[in-house]
Amino acid sequence: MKLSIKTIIPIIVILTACTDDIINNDASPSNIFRSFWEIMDERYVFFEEKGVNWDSIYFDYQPVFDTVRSNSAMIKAFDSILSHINDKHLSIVSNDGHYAGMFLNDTLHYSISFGKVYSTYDFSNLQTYSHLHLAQLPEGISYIRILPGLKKINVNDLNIRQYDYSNGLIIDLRDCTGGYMSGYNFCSIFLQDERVVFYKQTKAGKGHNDFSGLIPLKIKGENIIKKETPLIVLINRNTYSMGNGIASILKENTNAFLIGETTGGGGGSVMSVLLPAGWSLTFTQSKHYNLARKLIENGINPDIENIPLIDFWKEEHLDTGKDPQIEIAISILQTTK
Amino acid sequence: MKITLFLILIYLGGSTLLVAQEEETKSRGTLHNFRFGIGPIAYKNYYSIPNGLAGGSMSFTYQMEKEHKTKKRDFLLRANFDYSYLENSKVLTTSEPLFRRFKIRLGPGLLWPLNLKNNQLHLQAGGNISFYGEYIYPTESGGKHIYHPIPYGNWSINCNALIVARYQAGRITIEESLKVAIFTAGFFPEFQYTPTSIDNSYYWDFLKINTISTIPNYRMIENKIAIYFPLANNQTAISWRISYNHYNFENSQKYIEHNLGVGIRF
Repeated sequence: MKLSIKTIIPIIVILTACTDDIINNDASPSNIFRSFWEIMDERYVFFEEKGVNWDSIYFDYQPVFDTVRSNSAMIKAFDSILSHINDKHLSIVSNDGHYAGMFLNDTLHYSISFGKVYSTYDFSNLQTYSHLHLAQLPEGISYIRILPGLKKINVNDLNIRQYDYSNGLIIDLRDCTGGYMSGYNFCSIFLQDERVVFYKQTKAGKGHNDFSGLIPLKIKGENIIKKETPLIVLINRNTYSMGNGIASILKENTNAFLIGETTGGGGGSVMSVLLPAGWSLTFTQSKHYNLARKLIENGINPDIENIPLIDFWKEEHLDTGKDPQIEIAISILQTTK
Repeated sequence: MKITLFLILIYLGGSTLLVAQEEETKSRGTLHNFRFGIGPIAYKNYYSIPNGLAGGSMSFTYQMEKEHKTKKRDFLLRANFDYSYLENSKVLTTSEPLFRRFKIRLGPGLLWPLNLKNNQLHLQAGGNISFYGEYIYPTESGGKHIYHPIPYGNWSINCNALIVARYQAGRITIEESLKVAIFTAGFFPEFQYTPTSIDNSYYWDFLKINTISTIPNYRMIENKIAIYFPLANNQTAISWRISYNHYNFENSQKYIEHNLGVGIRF
């Protein structure tokens, strides 16, 4: 029996020691950087499109992280790395909540004061859903705005049939900086059948070019809005990620007319993981392609370009509620009735 | 560490009793076991928790053992449910768990006696087939700290080898059981696993067997030592269970759980 105890105890010790093998507890900056680099190396999808030499990033920045001591210095170094990649989906958050990434620096140069727009252009019967606004405009025009963070919605719960959209619908994707892939389900109200609306491609291995084939993703149409209904989609630089995807789907699958600026892009889905010491990394884990099998990472172009100056949005718009892009949309729908 | 030392002491104490007692074993008949346990866990998976997290777990187990006298074998039926939380003490913005984990094991088994010519020590060997499933998902707190955390899970049907050693020491029974998965078949997330989609059809993919593996590529080891002693008209148990799992397919997972439990057998 003593022999069996001698056998069992080392097993227990080995199993207990395995804990160190499971949890990466090294909180040093160089270990945090190494984990970041390795996860990106194996799982990030846009190295080729972004023209990034990932090995040189390692050799350039490992010495930096060997010497930095503070969270703020690390955030600064990560900011520098992410600026090389130029993907607004990428971000790093420190364990005390500080952020490194392109999104806040590059996407949100301005934001629209939608409350002022609503009052300036006589919006009525405004209904607010989770991440979605629905309103009536004069002359048989209805308005739907998708807000950031939209998840799957039951489109039959939207009281859209109570609205008069006999002259058309405006779908406002401006400042829609993203949401969930399930938010694409919103497009089902404009579709009459089940159909492939875009393709995704994921990593299939750890190599930079190890990708799956194109995986078709479908949406089942709810046939709520008839296909003859005139649709105007408003987009701007802040239309990003899910907003960008919805713009692409509506452009290819409906008679929607896009007005505004080229969208900010963000053609992929993201996920986040913890780095050592409680830091976290968000990265793009799949690529999205439109029906023409072209990447939508670099944005969707409008049919009618209208780009007010940033100063206009920051000054006159805030003073008066004036919105030249919605004026064009209303004007087009009024002339096509 | 203190818990580990405490558990080792219990283990050594139990093992000492093992060699100190002598009494003939009685027929066991049908036994029902209920066990509740708690303990620490260390867990990681390549996909959603690549740097690992520590936490705590609690488990509830029911096991029925039925002795078949003529065929001289034991039939086992076991259901086990575990709940774990995973946290990161280094995250300064939250002290709440970042992920929760549910694990279920369910299945029958058979044990045959091995003749040791020893009235006190009884050895049984056999196997069981168990359904194993686990699901790890981010908490609300995890969703606040980690921008877009992703759930992860797998399920499998395992054929396990099972060895049970039982030593009758007076009114105390000491039982050591070791279970090792030999063969597994089930759904394990592949490298490109992306559980976010706009249609629900992919859920069916998760129900299909996509991986078949054997030891050593799929390692699932469970070791439990229990000391049973009479209390009122039942047998009460204190036990220590260690569960270890490591697989390394396209995605990998590794965890170790220590679980100190109390139970009742009647």
